[in-house]
Amino acid sequence: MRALLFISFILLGNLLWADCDPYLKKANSARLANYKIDVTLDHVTKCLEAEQVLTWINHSPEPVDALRFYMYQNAFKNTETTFMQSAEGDVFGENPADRPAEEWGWIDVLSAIQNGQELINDSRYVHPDDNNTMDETVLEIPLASPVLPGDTLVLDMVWSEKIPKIFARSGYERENFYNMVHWFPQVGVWEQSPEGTWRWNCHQFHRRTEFFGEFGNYDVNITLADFLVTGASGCETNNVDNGNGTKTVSYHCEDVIDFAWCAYPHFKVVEDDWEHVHIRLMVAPEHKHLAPRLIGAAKNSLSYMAEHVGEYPYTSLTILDPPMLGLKSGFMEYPTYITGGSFAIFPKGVRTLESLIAHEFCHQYFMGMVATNEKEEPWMDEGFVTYHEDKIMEAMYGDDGSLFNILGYKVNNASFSRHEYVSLDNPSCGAIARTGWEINDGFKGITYSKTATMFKTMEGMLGEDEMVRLMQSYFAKHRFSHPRGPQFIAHVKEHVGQSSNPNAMGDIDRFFEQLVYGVDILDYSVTNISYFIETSDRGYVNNGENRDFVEGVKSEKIKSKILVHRQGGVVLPVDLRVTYEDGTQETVAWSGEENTKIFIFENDTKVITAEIDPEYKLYIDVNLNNNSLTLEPKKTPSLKIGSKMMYWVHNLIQGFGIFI
Amino acid sequence: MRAVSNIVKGFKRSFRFRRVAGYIMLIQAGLSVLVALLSINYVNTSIGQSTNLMKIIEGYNHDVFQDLLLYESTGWEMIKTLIALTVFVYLMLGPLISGGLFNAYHKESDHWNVFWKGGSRFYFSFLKLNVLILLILLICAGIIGFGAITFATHGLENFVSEVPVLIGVGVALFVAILFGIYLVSVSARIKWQMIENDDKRVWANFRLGLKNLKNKRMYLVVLGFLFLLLSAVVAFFSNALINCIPESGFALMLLAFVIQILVLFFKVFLRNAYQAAIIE
Ligand SMILES: [Zn+2]
Repeated sequence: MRALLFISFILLGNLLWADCDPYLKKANSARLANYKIDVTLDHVTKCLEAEQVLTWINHSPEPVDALRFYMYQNAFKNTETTFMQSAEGDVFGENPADRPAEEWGWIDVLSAIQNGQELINDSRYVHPDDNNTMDETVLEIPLASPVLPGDTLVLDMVWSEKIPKIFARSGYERENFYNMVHWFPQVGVWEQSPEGTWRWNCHQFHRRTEFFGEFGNYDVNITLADFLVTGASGCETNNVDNGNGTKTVSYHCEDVIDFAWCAYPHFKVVEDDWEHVHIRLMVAPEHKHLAPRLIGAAKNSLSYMAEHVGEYPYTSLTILDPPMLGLKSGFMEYPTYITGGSFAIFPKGVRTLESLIAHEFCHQYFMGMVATNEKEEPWMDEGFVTYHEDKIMEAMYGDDGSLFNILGYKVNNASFSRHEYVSLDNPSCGAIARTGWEINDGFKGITYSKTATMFKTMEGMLGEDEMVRLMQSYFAKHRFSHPRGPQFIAHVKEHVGQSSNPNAMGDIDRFFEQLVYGVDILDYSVTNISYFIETSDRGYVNNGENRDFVEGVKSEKIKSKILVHRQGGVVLPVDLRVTYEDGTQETVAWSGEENTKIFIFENDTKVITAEIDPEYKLYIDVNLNNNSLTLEPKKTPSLKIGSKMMYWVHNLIQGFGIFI
Repeated sequence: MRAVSNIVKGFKRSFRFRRVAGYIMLIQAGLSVLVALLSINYVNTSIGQSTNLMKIIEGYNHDVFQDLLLYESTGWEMIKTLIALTVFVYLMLGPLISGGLFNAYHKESDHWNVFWKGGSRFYFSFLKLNVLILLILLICAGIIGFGAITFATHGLENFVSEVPVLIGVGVALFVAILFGIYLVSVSARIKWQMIENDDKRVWANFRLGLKNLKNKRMYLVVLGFLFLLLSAVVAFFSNALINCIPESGFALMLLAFVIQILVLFFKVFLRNAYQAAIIE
């Protein structure tokens, strides 16, 4: 009997630890900030009580005498926080000021002990970004004794939290739905500035951007009511019934910059595996029929990114598909934990469901493993992610309607991204390289979509294979570190410089200067095509005192004149391809420097078509329709449009006709 | 069973009066062709010389259309205005069409004169009746819509799942459709009654019509629902047929156009058959 119990224990242990043993094959990061958190959720009062041990390593050559912590739940404390102020009365269509007392939230550190010495009394909230004294989202705790270079600090903390009803992503909703993100005091990043000094990079919580954390391991024990079903970053290592109506669920995660978890009594858990990765989908029962689509999208994303960017080393991926009541928790990314957003009826041809999963999964790479500073350089994750999201979707569904393919309406992801950018009221409203708090317009259109379209343009110029190699080498070089924009640009220069076509992007510094740091648009156009036959030596020539008329020589060649314009401020090298009447083609390169340029082509037949960028390499061109011109208009397409318009309008009036 | 046999009778009558269907088709085509011509002109003068335009031969192309609408929006606004105007004009011609159709059925003649006389004689009475019916429809749709929105808002704020909300909204939509069907039938029956009795009084006929239809409500709703299903089937298969033609060249495009015209013509027959079945 005892042997049987022992075997059962081992088996149960193995089941729980299946994806935890080991969680990672090897340590990938320096693991500078490690957490052990014991937290208790009181679902009646919506409060958390926790004990937290932070083990922090000073990897710098300088002693550190204070730590700074993200206290992001304090963003939801009142209307005066920096988050609420920058939201300007609109968080997901809701004015936060309308919230009743019980729906606000906060977090307090009650105790922080270093080597037996209480530090909390000397702690203070700091406001590195805006001097807003009402903002309590960054806490500085001075240390009793500095942490010397290479030394490890162990900080025993006690904190409590009133969970807010979700304003954005973090908090509770009715029916005991919880999405706990940015939920604990998290240490900022001790980093070397570009100028070489060491400093805390720990920004306040602004409305749009939220991630910049240090890598480390997490052991989190969550005690909560036993009717709640939980999911979290990392893997589940233990699940104990405490016998008093509560249970304690333990999670373990390694080499991550953050940790998130969720709970809900009605979750259905759908589990699946992709190679070494155990996928757990926490799905509302009414969305369970969407599980194959959600998990399918996750598997395809895993597969694409592993092949085209680099290995996903973690053995777990948790997907939260919230119920409608918790939708404000959706559309987000946390290490090994992503949140989607769905609806009970979701037509198959509307693939925003899959696209969202692909997007959030790509964040595992860009800001998850390549841990860029989202607050200072949001394009470094959102732009990279949107580009790869588009690539994943096109790999999954082909390039003929990857995002929408419904009733003949076919839209590809890359095209959708491009139009989010070019259709902005002002596509020059701001540069890609803006900090999170500078963005007041065009966040999606510029930060996500213009950046993705810029990468698509790079792909056009470099070729798809070279672009893959570029992303692979960038990922390999910077995974588990905190690169910045200039480092990426330096990497592009180095990589392209060593490639088979080092001039494929022209002047790389200028490329990024214009597209990432500048606001100008790219717009080439072919404005006119004409032709003439040259006659030389015709006219009057002097003959002594007389003038003789000479008939001259008519050329046997036709000269075609192509007028091209650069209508935007961005200059990129481009090809001009002409097609002659006999079907032959000729391509010439244009630097794009001139605002207007005339190209002359001499041939036996005239040019009938001129196309700038004929292969659509420069996808960031804001008007693709004016990139080409034919000598004579083509009738068939407009006739087709006319015929379709007639059909639909005819149908429309027939529909209305039933009432008359 | 009665509904099915009347549908058959309706179709027979509709085909017998195919010239009337021709008149209606001509009126409709005359209106829709204006939109077609404006659209052709719009595309030709804006991007008619762009090679990009060839992409739409293969179907909808997001880049081509979005860039077109973004940079050449004036022409598109004109087209939208013309479409709205076309619908309005057609609605105004509606009494003429139904008056003509019922008069043809009544006089057992599909001659243009009969069609024209019926339409013109009862034009204003039918127009008034249409406005009345439309008002009732709008009021009832408003009440049903308000109920549905209130239920949906309450449901999304209080229910665990959105499924009951979807069911509620679906039921409201279904009820609204059934009510619409009933009103369409009422309108046709009253018009028929006015033509049969050669009586142009709107209000009196409306009251009388409602009284006469008391026992036929269920039948009319079933009949309308069957025609709605039939229309959906026709729309599904005709679109599938049209979409399967690649339209990569002029000849195939012409073929698609001819099929489109035939489909539209058949839909006129279908509508006429419905009207005929209602008055059986
Ligand atoms: Zn994102």
